[in-house]
Amino acid sequence: MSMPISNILDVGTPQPRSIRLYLRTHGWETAGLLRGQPTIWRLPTEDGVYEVIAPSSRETGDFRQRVSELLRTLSIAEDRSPAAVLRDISTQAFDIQYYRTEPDSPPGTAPLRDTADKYAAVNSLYSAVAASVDSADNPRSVHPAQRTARTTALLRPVLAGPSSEGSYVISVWTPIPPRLTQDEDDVLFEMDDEPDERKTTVQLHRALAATRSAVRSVQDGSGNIDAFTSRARDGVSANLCESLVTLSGDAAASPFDVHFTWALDRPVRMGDPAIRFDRESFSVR
Amino acid sequence: MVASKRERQGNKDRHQGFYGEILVASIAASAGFNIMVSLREDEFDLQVCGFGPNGTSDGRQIALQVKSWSVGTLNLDGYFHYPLKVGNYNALARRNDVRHYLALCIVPKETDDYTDARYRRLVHNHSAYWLSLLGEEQVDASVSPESTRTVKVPSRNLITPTTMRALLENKGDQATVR
Repeated sequence: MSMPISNILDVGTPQPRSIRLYLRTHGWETAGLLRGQPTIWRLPTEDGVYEVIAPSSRETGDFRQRVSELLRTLSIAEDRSPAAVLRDISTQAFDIQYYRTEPDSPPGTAPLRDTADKYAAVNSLYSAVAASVDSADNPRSVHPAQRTARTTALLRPVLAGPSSEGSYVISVWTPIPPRLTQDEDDVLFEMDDEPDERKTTVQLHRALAATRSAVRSVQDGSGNIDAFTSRARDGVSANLCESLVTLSGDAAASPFDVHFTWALDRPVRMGDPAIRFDRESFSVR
Repeated sequence: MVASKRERQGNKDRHQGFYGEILVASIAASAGFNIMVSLREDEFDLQVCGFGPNGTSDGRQIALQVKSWSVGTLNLDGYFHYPLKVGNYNALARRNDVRHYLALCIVPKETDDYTDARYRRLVHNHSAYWLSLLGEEQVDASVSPESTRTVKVPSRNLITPTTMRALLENKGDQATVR
């Protein structure tokens, strides 16, 4: 049973600007923004056109009510809990990956020993991707155990976040330097001059997508080991593949997926928000 | 156990207050709108809104603070002079993103007279009137919120399905009757 929205808001209410950024980066459209005015945003869907009122300010008398209703509508339109929507609105300064594992244990739990291994695997995976960013001019299929100073610097600010709804979810939070001004009127999507933190999270997405693609090519017989080694520029490495196998559990038989959310403060357009590795992925040898 | 006089009065007040809210809600429903009831007493009583997909509300919304008044009479100037608590007054006068209105319900003194139900007719007695206090100066915080300030609610602001639609469409100038 999910928590009532009023209780969720007791924990903290988001900034109106974060709400507008969220709507803008999730397909909602508005006729126009008037500074200091509430705005109606619309999302056309097969079910009809959803509408929400984005609050103008935290100082208005009905701010909590507006946020409460907005979360309710967003949760219905996106078919997920209000708490999950609020979390994404409130984490505007972080790129976050959610590793959703499926252990054979009660919902929300995981065997302690496996979980320790999986956290270590996620750390190794992130480290492998950071190393590939560091060696972008000279892509490698195997990264040395000794980290460079730049790789270490890339890993230092990365945080282990709270678990969330799902079988057992490991979240990794990377703080991203903001690009938008407080006016947020010029939302740009170019990839030039991205900071190293964002380069790493984008490379992580690219590496996982490339690995899944390589797995599929081997499964359907169109590829072989070259399908992996030829994708070193995308961040695919032996280190990364080993980490993925560890994430699939002892018998390499548990599927998992990695869901990406991107810092609203630095909008980016990426494909697939979730990349899944099914059980068969790990039968590729 | 026999209820005390104070308890009986409290029950009558709740009865009257609830009836006022339902009277307004029934007009909103007749006008084709959805109703949400507030669980927080300090904000509003009813929110009236258009229907969106899958039980959501659309962008047409107003909030109503409903007050029922069994001893109110129309003054010669065409207004009801209602003593509104300062706390309620300030909540209506402050800045809100959704427009807030006072809905003043003039109801019978006797609860048995609230509704006249016949086979082919249902009458709710008596009527509700709206008032916007947006832009009015807030009463100083040093004044007790339980004290009252008299507001003048014009009888032409009768709430009907037609005037309710006008309020939802932000056409306050068309939300009156002759």
